[in-house]
Amino acid sequence: MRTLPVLFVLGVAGCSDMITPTRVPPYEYRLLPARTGRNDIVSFKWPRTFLPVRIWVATDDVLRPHVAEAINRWEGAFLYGEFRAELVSDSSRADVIVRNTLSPGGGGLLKTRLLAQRPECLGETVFDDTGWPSSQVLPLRIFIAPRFAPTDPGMAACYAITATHELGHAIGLLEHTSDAGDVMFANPVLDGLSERDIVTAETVYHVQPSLTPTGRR
Amino acid sequence: MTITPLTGHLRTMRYYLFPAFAALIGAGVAGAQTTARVTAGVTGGTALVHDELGGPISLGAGRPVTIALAITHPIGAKYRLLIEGRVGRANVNVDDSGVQSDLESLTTVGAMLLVDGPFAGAFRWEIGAGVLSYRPADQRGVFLQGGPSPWLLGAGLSWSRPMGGSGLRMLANARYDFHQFQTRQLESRGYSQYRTVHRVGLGVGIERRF
Repeated sequence: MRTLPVLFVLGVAGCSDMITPTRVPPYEYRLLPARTGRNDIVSFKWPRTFLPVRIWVATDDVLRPHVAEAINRWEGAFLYGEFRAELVSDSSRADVIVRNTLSPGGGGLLKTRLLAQRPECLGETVFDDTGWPSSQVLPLRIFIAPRFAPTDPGMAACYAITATHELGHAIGLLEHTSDAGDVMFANPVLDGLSERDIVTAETVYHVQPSLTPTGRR
Repeated sequence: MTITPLTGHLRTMRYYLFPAFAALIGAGVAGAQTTARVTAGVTGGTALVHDELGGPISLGAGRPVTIALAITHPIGAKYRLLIEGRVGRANVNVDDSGVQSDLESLTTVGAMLLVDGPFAGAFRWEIGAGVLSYRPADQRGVFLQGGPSPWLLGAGLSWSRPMGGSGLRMLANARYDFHQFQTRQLESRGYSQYRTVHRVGLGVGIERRF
């Protein structure tokens, strides 16, 4: 019995800590002046007070499961609850609205459009930039539309990839990468997230952004 | 001493190990000075994960309210064997560069086999080992691929005194334990080794002799 405390003390003395991994460098995720035509750099993230982000897509829309999967993928990129989202059924209370149609384009509002182009479908995330460079007016709008008949082969994969890409913009990965191995490549082919996508998303949520979301809350 | 967490089927076997011990002990206790005790209290611990992402970030298991049930059985004149189950529930919390936030709820289920003996007066020491299972309400973040079930070593002090002639004793105890924390999700993201998590629990309750 007397040896038990000694063994216990030896156990306590064996304290250890995890070794954190060496992360690959993140890619550029901010919108630079050359892209926006403004004399400032723009970055965005959802504050913890806005979580979970409410995302609306019509309940009978073929996009809905793909958007749900995109949410899972991006939530899975984070270890410490930096981003969470949920699908809601009331578009008037949504922070992000996803529609299965082409973007109306033009309009009176200032808008910054981030496009993804695949052979089968198109995606676009529209940021109303009237409050830039300090605030982001909500909701963000995502448009994903088929280029051919929605029943064409490859359309489901296109929806999945494009939904992940556009939601990447909506969580703050505002720029495109030049590497086809990233889902944030302008013409995305990766059905998932790359290590660089994950590291960049983590980076976005651990630096101070220039934009604070406003409205809809 | 380094505790090496089990893998594969050995990890699963631990769930059967403690109920088996309990059944064995239970079969031999009829008529002996066996006691049952129930305590409630609170447990605090060091961070489960500490990381650096633009600034320091740490993840903790909160301060769960814990309920413990234990059966004790004499072994020799002075010592007793304790089989204890302990359940705690709190929210996972994150300190992100000084900003605190609560995440999903986390249940911890512990099973321990301890030995206790006389210390001084009404105090008794206790020391033992067991398993602690992390069961998050939602599989997210570091628990995306489930919660771990590491080995646990613990020691503490208990104090008790009779409550009239009812055969009941009131009880208070303090417990320190430690274990090695790692999750499959962290491993898949390249985090290696284990973090030693230290916990301290305080509880009050009653004990009844059969």
